[in-house]
Amino acid sequence: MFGYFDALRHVGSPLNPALWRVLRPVPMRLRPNAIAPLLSIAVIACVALCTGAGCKQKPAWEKGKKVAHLAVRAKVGTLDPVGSSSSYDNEIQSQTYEGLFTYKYLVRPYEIEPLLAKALPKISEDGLTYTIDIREGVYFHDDECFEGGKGRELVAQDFIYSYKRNADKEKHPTGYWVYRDRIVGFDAFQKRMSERGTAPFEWDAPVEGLKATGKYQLQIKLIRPFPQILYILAMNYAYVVPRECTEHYGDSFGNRAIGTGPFVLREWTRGSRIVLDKNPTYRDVFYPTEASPEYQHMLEDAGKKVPLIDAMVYQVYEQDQPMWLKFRTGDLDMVQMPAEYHDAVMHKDLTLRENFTKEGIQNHNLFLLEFIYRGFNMQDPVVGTAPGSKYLRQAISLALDGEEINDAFYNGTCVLYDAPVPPGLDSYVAGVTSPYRGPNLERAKELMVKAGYPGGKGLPSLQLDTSNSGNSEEQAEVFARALKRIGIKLTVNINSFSELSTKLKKKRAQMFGLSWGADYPDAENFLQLFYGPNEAPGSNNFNYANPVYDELYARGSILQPSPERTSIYQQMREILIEDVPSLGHMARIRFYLWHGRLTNLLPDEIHKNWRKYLNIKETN
Amino acid sequence: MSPFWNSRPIRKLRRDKWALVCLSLIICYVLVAIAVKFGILGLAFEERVGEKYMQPSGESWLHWLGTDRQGRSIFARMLYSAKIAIGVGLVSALVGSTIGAILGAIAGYFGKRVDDFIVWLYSVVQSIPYLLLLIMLTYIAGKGIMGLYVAFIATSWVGPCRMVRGEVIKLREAEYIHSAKAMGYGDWRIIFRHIIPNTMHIVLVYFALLFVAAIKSEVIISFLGLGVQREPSWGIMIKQSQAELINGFYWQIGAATFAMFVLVLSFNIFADALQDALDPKSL
Amino acid sequence: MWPYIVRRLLWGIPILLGVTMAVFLGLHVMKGSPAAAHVGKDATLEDIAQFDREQGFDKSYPVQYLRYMKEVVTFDFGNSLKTDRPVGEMISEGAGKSVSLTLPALLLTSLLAICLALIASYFRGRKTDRAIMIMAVFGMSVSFLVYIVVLQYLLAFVLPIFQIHGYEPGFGARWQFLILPIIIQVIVGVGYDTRFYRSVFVEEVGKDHVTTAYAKGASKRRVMFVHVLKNALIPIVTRVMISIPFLVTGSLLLEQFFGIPGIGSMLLAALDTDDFPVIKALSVLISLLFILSTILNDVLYAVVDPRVRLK
Repeated sequence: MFGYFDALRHVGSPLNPALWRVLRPVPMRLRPNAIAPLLSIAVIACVALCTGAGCKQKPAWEKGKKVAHLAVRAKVGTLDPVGSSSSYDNEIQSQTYEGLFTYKYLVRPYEIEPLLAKALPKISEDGLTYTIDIREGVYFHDDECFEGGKGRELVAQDFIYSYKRNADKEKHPTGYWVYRDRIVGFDAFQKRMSERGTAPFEWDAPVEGLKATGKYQLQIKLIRPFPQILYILAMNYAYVVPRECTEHYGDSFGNRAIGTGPFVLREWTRGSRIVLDKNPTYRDVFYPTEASPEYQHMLEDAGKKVPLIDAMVYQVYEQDQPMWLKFRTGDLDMVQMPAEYHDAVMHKDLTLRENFTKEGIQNHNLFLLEFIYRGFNMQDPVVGTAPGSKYLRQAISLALDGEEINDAFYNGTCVLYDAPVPPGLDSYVAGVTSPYRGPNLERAKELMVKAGYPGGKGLPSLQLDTSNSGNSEEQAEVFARALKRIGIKLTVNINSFSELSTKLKKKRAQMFGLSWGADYPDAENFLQLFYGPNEAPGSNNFNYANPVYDELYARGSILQPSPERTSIYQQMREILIEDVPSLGHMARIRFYLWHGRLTNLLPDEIHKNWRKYLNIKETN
Repeated sequence: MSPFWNSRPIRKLRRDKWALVCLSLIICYVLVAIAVKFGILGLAFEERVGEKYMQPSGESWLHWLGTDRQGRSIFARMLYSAKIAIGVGLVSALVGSTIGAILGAIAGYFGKRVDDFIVWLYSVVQSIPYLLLLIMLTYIAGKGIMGLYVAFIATSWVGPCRMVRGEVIKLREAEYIHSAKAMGYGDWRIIFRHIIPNTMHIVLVYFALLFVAAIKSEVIISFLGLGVQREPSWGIMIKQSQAELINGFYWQIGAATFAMFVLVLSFNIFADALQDALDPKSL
Repeated sequence: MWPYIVRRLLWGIPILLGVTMAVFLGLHVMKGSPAAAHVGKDATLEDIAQFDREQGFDKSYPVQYLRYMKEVVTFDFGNSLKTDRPVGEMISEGAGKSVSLTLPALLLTSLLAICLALIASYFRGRKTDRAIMIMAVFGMSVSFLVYIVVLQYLLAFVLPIFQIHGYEPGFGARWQFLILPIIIQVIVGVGYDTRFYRSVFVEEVGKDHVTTAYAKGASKRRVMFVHVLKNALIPIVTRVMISIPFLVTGSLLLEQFFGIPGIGSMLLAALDTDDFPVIKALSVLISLLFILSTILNDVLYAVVDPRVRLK
């Protein structure tokens, strides 16, 4: 696979043994004369190939148009929103499909705004029933699967259909979990459908919590109050697709993108390139007029109809070097800076170096809402349930130098924080707030004594399970070295991702290294990781169970953002800091760079359907 | 002089001055590798010795080739990597050619079922896509130096095995083997005392070829992230240096490429000379 | 002749069995169900069990292996777990792209190497020969990765002669992207091939019939083309033939760096994402090609040298 000449086995290439004999020196008796014809053929072939193929040229269709050139870092698998399995699938889907809600582009902290909904929902007193009016006069992309090839008008029933697709195992959905235990009757429906065998999927069977109460009105009933449902309805698993098209194209629906979104799919060269054109029939959607104070300068195009550009070309770049070279030549408009270029591009204070700003390159350092951590299984007899185990966990936390990992693996650009709520979310507190943030070996050793293992004596070797992806293996070794300093022996087990998650679901790991990326910008998404009833196989891999914490969660998670909620979240935070079910928390920064010709750019990864706001200064 | 030094191949090799130059270069690398292995040299590969991306200077030997992205000495890392290269090459070549020679001799000598089985075995190993084999083996052996060893050994025995087998099939009918059988020697004694020594010319050449192949493959495997961990190797240095070219910093890729180039070149030339010297047909 | 060919073909069956068994062992036994990578974040144990049931990963190993065998025989590996598309379709898309990179490279490499080798063997032992051989050895002693990294940087960025990266599906349009990777592949491969062909020619030149022809007063050109090249054709054809499977599998590194969506990067992506159907299909396809080209090679030798058949 490395080319036929560079493989080790080339040495053992299947030459007939007789050929081995040919390697034998023989006295030379001939003189030259006759190779000229052959050599000239070779040279001509080379030259013909070089010139015949022509030089670099921009495709003709791009002339005079505003075309943005963007990058994805892995091959896009499917464009069917329910089957999406990577953020790159999601990125393309978000340009062609839409959901009921989205986020305000220029407002931080994040705020929800209606997209296909007419307005924010009417919520009943008990917080259980959401009534959502849908925008009238929204049309799907024109496609042959519609009668007459003209996109049909969107109705409430389309949402019911699209949500139910997440329950159809034949579509290989990857997102049913966002609905699980939320909507009245949906779980029972999903269960019935997955056990239906060969019987057809009952698309028209009623689900109590999902109802179209009018042509343009939708009603969602929740099992218990869950204000974050609006975030769920903004995710790609809740994008709306037209039933006649999924049925028309069947299994190959994932090759197309027939939604209501601002862009239509023109070309998809598998594994290489996706070209999206501006949707000519896109309804009137305008550039926002509202912006947070720090983004006021981005309101130049306020009130203009979007999309402002004519097309977007997404190219797959699996290697850093070609992507970076393309960016430096200006052929690529925007990149996420690869980590190894960090020192050459950024100053220590994370501003752009002058040679880049001089070229008009701009940047945005995006704090990712994520939780990189090492955790304990709280049901483990040694680190979880033993009487002194809390002190042991505190000691371990104190032994770890988070900055060492940050420097060695992330150019020192990660944000370290104490409780599982990353910066940017409600209840986050900056700075060192935990008495157990390492490194403090003195205190760690004291706590080891308190835990009953002075100098590590009497403590069996601890087990850390980590995945084999990225540099998690190396990070685990740094961790092991840190624990050695306080006398703890740590054995690192490397797992494939499948093995690791199976171990966690079966509560078989003692300690583990993992990360959690936010699904929506709410601290609840992180705090639920420690909620007792969510224990494995749920999302609470720690199997952490604390009645006080659970009670606070039950109260806080159903509240709308408010000082009351913040205070509850902060109490939960403090409980976690004291109990140390997890340690070494970090969140990365993603560095977005783009050329000055691209404007209106505020990169974000929580929602991805903001590309429609991009503009290009000059046409090419 | 001893008979060994006066044997025909050695005499021939001794006349080939390029081969001798290459051999001494190889020996230099081996010495460096041994020195690193036992902590005499190159210990500073992980330490910061100055600012990042320093140009080469004569400040101390650590600065001869400048520093990398983390301010570590490129020269020290280059030397340290010789240990990995020689280690990987030696294990792959030694174990691979030994296993290959023995299996090849057994297959060729016994023939029939045994032969069928061994031929089947190497045909299977050869037919599995290399990348797949490599990744499957790292599941078993884990990433890192052990994984490298296992992957190289699993694939490197195939070449010598084929060739030795072919040679032994011819040797089997030779007169001295018949007479050894007539004298009542056991099969194994004949294989190890009479057959394998007579295939040494093939095995030795393969040893050199496998050595080179392993060193070059290490680069590709490091590129895939399956190579040595937390230690420098030439492959890792080349991989890391991608981002440096565009910033006008050529020292890391240059150092790794040069160090590898000299070793591989020496081995290539030496292997050629060895081939010439050992070929029983040549005069 | 035919019994020999049939015998060789039958010999391919146990090899293919061995390959599938090894792949099966590696994937299903060592690695286990790929469920976690495909059922989505936050899946329950039940979701995983469901996935295993659907994909048949809950069956006993013999049953799963038999199913794999059935897939091999019908060459229908189902749908990719990642893209949900038929695997056969994905492979046939990728194979064309790989071949448009590797085939021109192979042809150019062989042509160039044969020319250089002819020159070298003419001048055997002289300066020209030395120079060519030294160049060949020098070329072989630099890592493939270095060639790619440096030449992409120099020839596509510093001197913007070639495209840095990309691919066009149209047959005519794709070449602007393929030239540089082809050139790199030729540079890397030509050293090995030149050395090989030179030794082949040198062997032929020493043979009696060439000496006789020369003694009979045949012209130098005639000797070189009629006697040497003709008789060296078999090693040349064999050499090219054993490269056939590698044409389809493509070149992982070149595909990755130059953005050519071929089979090489498809296999790597499949391995990264635990896409078992794609891995299984590709491994069977590649092994099959490999086995067939070996058999073809043996048969060719048997045609030339009838003694081989008796073995």
